[in-house]
Amino acid sequence: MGNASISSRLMDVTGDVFSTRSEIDGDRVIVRLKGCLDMETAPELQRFLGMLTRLAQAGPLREVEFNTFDLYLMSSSSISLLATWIKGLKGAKPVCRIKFKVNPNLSWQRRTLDTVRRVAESIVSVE
Amino acid sequence: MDLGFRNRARWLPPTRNLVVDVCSEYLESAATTEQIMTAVQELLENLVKYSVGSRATFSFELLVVEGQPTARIATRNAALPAQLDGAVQVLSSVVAAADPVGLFEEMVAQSGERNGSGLGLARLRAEAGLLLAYGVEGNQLAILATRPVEARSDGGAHG
Repeated sequence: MGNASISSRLMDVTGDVFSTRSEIDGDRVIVRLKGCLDMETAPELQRFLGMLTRLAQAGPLREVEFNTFDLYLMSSSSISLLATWIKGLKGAKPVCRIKFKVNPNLSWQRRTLDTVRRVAESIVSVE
Repeated sequence: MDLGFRNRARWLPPTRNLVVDVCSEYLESAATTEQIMTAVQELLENLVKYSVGSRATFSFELLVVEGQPTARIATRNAALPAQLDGAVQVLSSVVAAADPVGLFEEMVAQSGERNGSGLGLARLRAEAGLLLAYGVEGNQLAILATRPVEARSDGGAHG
């Protein structure tokens, strides 16, 4: 399945407080997360992750890279959503790998996402 | 601040930003400010989600305790009995945990298995390095979270 197939089923979040920007590269999606993931924006993350799940289940998605360089805050509601989403992908065939590219100047990111990584160490990495 | 936080999530960003501004002004480490910001966000979200009645209290202080610059965050709110019991159960586990990071990891791994998981409370110790104390009086829950901080060399915390 080609890029058009993925892009037609992936709608970015465009809020003022939290937004996503996705780029498709073959069977890989790069998602830039920007802003604040708090209790109000967590439902938007949930909706977006749901779209990624449907893509992964349909087969064309082998890797999702989340770039969190411009993500200022992630509260526990979003940590829980991410962890739940990753648990759902853990046994998926074909394997869909998850990569987080963190901002070294925001030290909470590595700490928090490393905890999320432990939910499924075989498919999640933090760089 | 002594406000009706319940269902008023719009009050969180300005409150959080005020605390971040104060910390940025007086604390040496940006990482410590981040940790305090995380803790403030978690505690405020709990007030919005779980407090009942027209008033809940949130306070933040930078002060010197026995010569040690310290950040102190306190909340007080009324809650429904089931939510109060749930919060006390989580708080007692978090306060007693010999390995708060391990407890937090365990709770993250259990995500999605129950509502009101208490993840935010566990995060206060595991990721923000806060010492926690709590008390219950009737339907009121009070939480006190403290940690040592390093004051900026050109300023310092003011009590």
